[in-house]
Amino acid sequence: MDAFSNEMILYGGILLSLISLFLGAIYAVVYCIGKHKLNIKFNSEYGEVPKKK
Amino acid sequence: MAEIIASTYEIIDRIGSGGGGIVYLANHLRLGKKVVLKADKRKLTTRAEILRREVDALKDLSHTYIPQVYDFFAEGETVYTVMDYIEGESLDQPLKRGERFTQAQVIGWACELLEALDYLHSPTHGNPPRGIVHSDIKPANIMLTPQGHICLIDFNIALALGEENVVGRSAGYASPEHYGLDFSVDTPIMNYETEVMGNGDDTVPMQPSEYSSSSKKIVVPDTRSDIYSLGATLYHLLSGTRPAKDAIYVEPLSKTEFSPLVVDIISKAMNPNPDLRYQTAAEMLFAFRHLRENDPRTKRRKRNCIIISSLLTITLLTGAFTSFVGLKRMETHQRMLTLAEYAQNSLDNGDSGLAVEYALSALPERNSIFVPPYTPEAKKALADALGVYDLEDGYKSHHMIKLPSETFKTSLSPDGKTGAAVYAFAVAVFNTETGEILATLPTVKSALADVVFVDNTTILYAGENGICAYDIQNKRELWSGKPATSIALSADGQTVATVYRDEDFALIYGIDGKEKSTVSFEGHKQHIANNDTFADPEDNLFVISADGQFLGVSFENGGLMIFDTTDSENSIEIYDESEFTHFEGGFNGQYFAFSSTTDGSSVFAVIDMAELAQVGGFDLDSRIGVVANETGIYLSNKSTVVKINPITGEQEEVAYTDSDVRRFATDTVNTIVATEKNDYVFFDKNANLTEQNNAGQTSCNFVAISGDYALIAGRDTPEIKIMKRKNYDDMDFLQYDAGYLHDEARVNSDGTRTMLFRYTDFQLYDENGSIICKIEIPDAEKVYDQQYSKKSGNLAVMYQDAFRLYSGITGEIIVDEENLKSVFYAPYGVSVLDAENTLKLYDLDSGEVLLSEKANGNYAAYCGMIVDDSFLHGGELIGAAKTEEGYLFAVKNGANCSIFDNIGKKKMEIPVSEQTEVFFTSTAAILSPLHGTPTVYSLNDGNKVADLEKDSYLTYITELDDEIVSEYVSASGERYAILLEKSSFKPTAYMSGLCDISGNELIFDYYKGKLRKTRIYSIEELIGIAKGGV
Repeated sequence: MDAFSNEMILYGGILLSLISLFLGAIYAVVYCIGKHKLNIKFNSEYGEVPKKK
Repeated sequence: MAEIIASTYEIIDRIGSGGGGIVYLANHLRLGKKVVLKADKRKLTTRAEILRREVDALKDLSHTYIPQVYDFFAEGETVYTVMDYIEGESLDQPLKRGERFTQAQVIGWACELLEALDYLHSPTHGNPPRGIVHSDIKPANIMLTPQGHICLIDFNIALALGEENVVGRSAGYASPEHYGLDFSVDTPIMNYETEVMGNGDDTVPMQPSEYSSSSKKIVVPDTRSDIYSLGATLYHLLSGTRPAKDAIYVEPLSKTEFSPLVVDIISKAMNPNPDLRYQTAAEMLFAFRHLRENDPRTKRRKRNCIIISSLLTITLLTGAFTSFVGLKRMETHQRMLTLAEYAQNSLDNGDSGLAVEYALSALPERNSIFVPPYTPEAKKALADALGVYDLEDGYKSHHMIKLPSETFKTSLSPDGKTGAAVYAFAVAVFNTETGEILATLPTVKSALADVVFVDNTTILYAGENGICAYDIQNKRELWSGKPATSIALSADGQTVATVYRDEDFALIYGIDGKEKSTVSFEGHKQHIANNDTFADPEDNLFVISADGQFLGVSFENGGLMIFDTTDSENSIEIYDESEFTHFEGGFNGQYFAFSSTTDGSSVFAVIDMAELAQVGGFDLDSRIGVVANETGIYLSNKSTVVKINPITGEQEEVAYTDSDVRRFATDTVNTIVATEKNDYVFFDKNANLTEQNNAGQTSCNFVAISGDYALIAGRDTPEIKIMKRKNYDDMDFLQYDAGYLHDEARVNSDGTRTMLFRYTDFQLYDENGSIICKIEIPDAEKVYDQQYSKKSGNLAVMYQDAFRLYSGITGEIIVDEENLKSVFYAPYGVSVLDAENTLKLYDLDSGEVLLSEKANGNYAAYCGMIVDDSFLHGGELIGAAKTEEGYLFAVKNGANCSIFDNIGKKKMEIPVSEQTEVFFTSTAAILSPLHGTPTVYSLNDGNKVADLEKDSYLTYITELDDEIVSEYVSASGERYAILLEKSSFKPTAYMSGLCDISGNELIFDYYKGKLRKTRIYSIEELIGIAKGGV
């Protein structure tokens, strides 16, 4: 870790966190889209989920 | 005319028939509602009460997907069951028409059927409580309503009736148990013969035939049989094909055409072994309801989600943790810098002990990733505080004692290891070695309060209630006496004299505290201020002779008298009264020496107490200071301190400063002088100045010196500076004639030769310090540069038109070139261009010519290539070096300096001003202007790395393994060096007097006839040294 300056470590950590948040946001969107598509598939294969009485 | 049944039901239509009877659509005449009448033609063989019970059970059934049974009656020989009319058609009808259903539809119906079955199978139904088994589930018995829901119809009343031996079965839908097959054991057991009748679509009642003699078990369809039938029904609905009659020959549904999970559910439901099917409808319903959850795609998504979420979480936590580490390191780095600054400030203020403490704090143990690398500032603070590179003998700053308020009086013990200082209104006793306060004792509330050391462990001080004798070691009062302010102790340590403020008498005590006598001042009083907090005790003289017999006292009226403490008649009046306002003096043996001062002019006199006569004296129009004790009589006047022989009047110079003496103290070996410029200066016994410093904020009103310690304090500050004498004789490695003036001292690489040189001459010594030769350098006034070669010890002397190389072993001349057009020095050799334009490169160690080539013009040098006028174009070659990669040289042209490699390719250009010299390391070029700050540039990218020392002239750059040593000459001619961190070029140690470096060894010359040697310490070693001492 001594090969890097203290500022590099700080900013590197911040960058890593931001990247992970950014990727997480992208993944969340991709996940929701995928879930919606799968639900449509399931509805066609297995039928609609009956509404709870 | 419509048929009326039981006077209640009007037959509308016949809507079906089967094995159980005929099914009519009827109208309930009273309710006006359509119902279904199922007429069963089988003879009633069951007893009426059993029949009633079963009907009641059916009538209690109430479920969305099961038609309600309303009534059950017999008319004639026909048993009628009345139930809900379900609109729609049975599922066998669309199947017969060839219609196919979607998987989603089938799953929806399966869930409804299973809900109905779960209801039916529930043990709460039936009497005694047991579930109702339908036993004939097939598409024909499932109604599809116009709303798309199903209804399970046509219960097998016989089972409900408890006739276990009557079982209906439909081929393909009936379970193996319907045929008496028991697949729950290894081989199916036929318990009774079976007979298939009908075309397979109809439910055919099966009659028991002869039992096999080997049959052991009766197999009866149970709830699991319904599961099988339901599975078979779903099979048919999905595939459009009725499953095989034999369960073991049923072809599994295609997993490519239908969802694998659905196929698995149906396959499990249709397992020939009832133990391997779903055991309950609820179980099978659960499987259908959780298709989505159990779908591999859902599971895959979940798995991926977990993996990706975990990775992102780990990344986020790693990022957060890394940020935290970075932040903590920055915080720690800043704290290190601050503590290093505190350390440097403490050192500048003279408190090296505190400086070491701060520096150690700035270098915390590197036991975690939160601690960044040590800062060069902290390293420098520690190295300077420890003084490991200061090998000059003399008094060095040791501690700073901070009192609660300004100092009134100071004193040092005879061995110098203990000090005492009076302030308002206490006396602090402290250890001069450690700086620790040993005791704080209350004094009389007067600025005249005095403190005197009896010996190393006992003090006399003007206590709150009177004079006190205090044992420092045992921390206890030895004795106390009457009130006192001024105290005088005889040199023999046996008699104590005290006076209290302006009382007109003194008290004489023995050292044991016993009052011996009272000395009357005959009405005279010592000088005090109206508020004696502001009194200056130094104006008064109150001294006692070595044997305690005589007491010298000055008075406010300018009087000065010597009293005989044993005989009041034997007193001497020196002045009755006078204009004098300030008196100094004391007893030296039988002599009383004193000075009296008024308006800047003084009178000095020596009285022989044995003869009672003045034996010497003089007056001056400047202040005379006097210190007289058993070591001698010392005078100060203007900038001189002398020791005067009371008998002969001979004066011996003790100290000479560059400004008027304010105070001085001496222990006969060393003398400390405080000047009016607020300097404090040390002199050795030969009156040589050994150390001079400015006291800065501390006014030098009090000085004391004893043993290895000296003390400086001021009346206007609460700080007391403690100095300690250091001696480094054990680091001597060569002695030379201290009278030989020289500029440099260098040692060759194997340590066998030491050369001291200057432009005019040099001296060569062997390793034993014996002089080998003294050589004068000819035309010294024309010499413009001298360079020493470490390896051989040879000395290169450069002139504008000549070059001489002297042997570092013998001092003989090796090369003598004259009438040259140009001479250029580089560490790898000296280039000379002779009159014939032959360029020669001389090796500095062997003196051999390494290269001889023709060159053009009037200037040429070898820098990996010939650099002559044609290359320089009017520029000036200002430096060259040979690195691992090749040669580098610097050319100044106008306001720019260009760095070239050995093929003449320009690597970088840097702006420069005026005359500049260039030094090279493996990674940097250092441009040193004649009147400016040397600047370091990276050889990689040409960017500025650092500025070096300001206001001094850079003379050498030496690259070591981990450090760079930069050597300077200050404006005052002092030679010193600064150790630099190799990566940042930031200072890590100050080295005054450094003259040479040999490997890891540092050689120091303080121009006092000795060369001293030490080595470079690693930071870990410095920390170890500091901790060992703290």
